Amino acid sequence: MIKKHYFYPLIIALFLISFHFYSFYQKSFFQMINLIKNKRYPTLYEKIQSENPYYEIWLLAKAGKNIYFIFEDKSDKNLDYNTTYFKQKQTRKKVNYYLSELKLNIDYFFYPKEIKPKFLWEVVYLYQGDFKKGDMIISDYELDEYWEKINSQIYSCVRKTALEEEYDKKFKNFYKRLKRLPISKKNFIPVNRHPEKPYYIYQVVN
Amino acid sequence: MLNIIFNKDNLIVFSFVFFIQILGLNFLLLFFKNFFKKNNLFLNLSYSWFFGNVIFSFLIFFFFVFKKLNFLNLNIFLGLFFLTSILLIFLFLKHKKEIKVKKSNLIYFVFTIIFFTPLIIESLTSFLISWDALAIWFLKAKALYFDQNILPFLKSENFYYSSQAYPLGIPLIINIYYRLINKVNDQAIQFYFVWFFINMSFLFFGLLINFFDKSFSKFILFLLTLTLMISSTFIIYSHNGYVDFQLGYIFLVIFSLAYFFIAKKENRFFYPKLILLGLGYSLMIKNEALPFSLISVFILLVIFGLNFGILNFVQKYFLYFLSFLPFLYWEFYRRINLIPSFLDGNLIPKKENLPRLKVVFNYFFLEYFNTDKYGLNLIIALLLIIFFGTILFYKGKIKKILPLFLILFFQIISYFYVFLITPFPYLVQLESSLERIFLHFIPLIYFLAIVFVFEGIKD
Repeated sequence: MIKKHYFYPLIIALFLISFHFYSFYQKSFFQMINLIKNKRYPTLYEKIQSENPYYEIWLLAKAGKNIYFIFEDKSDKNLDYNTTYFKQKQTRKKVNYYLSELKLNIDYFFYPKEIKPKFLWEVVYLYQGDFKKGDMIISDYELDEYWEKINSQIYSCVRKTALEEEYDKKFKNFYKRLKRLPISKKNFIPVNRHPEKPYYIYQVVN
Repeated sequence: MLNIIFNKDNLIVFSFVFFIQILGLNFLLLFFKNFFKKNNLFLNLSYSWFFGNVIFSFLIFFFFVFKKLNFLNLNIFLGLFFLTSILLIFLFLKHKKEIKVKKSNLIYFVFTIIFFTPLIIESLTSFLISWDALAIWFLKAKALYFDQNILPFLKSENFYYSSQAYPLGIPLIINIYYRLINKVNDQAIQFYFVWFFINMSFLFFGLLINFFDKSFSKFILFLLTLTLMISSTFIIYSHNGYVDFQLGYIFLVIFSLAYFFIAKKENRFFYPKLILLGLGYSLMIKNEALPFSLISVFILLVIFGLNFGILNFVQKYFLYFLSFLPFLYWEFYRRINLIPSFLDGNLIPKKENLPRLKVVFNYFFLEYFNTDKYGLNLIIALLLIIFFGTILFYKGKIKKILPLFLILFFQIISYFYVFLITPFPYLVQLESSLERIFLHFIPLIYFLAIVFVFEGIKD
């Protein structure tokens, strides 16, 4: 006859196996408390938010700044299943909607304001005339990289079309008006999360 | 840590959650007294949390329909909190002799809270970062907070990704909290989410006590409950802003009520009332509740049809079908406003999609045996179901549990069906949603295993 207490070691062993995984998370549960205890922000919300990888975006939304969003990474890798092949009710046409975590956070933090994403060429050709001092640019593309590229010696040797030359000239004018703002280092180490792609913030200074 | 607990927004979220809990306690004590008296402390806590949410969600939906969400603010909430607390004290004093709360249960209640305190603290100190939380649930809550008319948001091309056709149950609740504190705080409200987790622990512990109190010590049952609850997937989804864990809890509550209805021999006709209310609520949370609700109602109809007559069922429970009104209203609202769902017009599977079934099955199979995510729990649950299912089959008692099995089976099949008809690249959708789909029915598998063991060793 099998007695009930014969099961006890089995149940305890099962618990210990599960607890082993749980204790891994348990260590991270208090991570945030340790990180925020010496922070000097006015609210608990901001103390915690300051460890959010998109904290600087949240700050811009909170400050109500005028924002331009350069969204270059419209590759197929960025097509989310929610947004791909969306069937429009009226046209019955399938349209790709590109979405990135950066766009998601911008949309969320800035709501109800809608920040329409733009390509860099659109900003360079069409919108830079609209920029005012103090306006901010969030970009998923590092403008400094392109600036360095077009100022390099190798690039000066490359033959360019008139269109490319015009673009570079306009870009230079555009870039000279900008100041790159630092993005603070976040110390919070999330469990089970992919590292986010970098983003860049520029301020229009003249 | 004290500055976290005594933070104003956190104190309001505690009150908000306890208000919903008290609402549920009052509801059960007022209308389902006998059910309440029969249950142990943990079942009562969990069922009251569930029905508190049911009542509160219906009420808020009513406010939403008539565009009266602005009516709710902190003063009105505190008034309601006071009145419901007074009513609870009155009801408790009235039924004091009939409600037995064992001291040992109170001790285990404190143990449970202490054990999960780190998780609760984490829920209060986490920034919101998960994809669906930002893209769907919390974005909609924000939209509702800024404008009680959500149509402009749903119509905006900029937010096409936010699965506009999904029902508004959870965003409505979040938006009410924002209205109480008069700002957006997507950190503190995660306590509301983690309370579902705590209540699922209460429910499993309550059920285990209910079934095995005489066979096993409470401590062993407590350890078993913790074993079920602390798998990594449950922890991750307990408060990250996805609503799949919450849906799993809702399914579990309804599933357990369905079992009690089938298993009890007498005084059981109030269970369909609770089940119908629960199904109506589940349809306010996520579209995945539709197949679950359809099969559950179908099974209720069959049971009544075979034993008491369909007419009897309609007469007894007609009123409770009103709980489906929020779902019907939402379906009507989204269709007349041309808010599309990805399933609209795609209901017939194409023949060339049939080979997908094999792939989907393989993915499900691999996910089921993923010990990183679920420990050994799902494997052991499956073995227990097979072993005790065989015993029940030979004892001729399997018929009793068949309806539960059918509900679970139909729910799983419905996911296969969706992958057959989806217009999206199905593999991308499958890979990104599989883990969350599993959250819907893992609690049901655990429950089935518990019931199979209980029925198997009974007599």
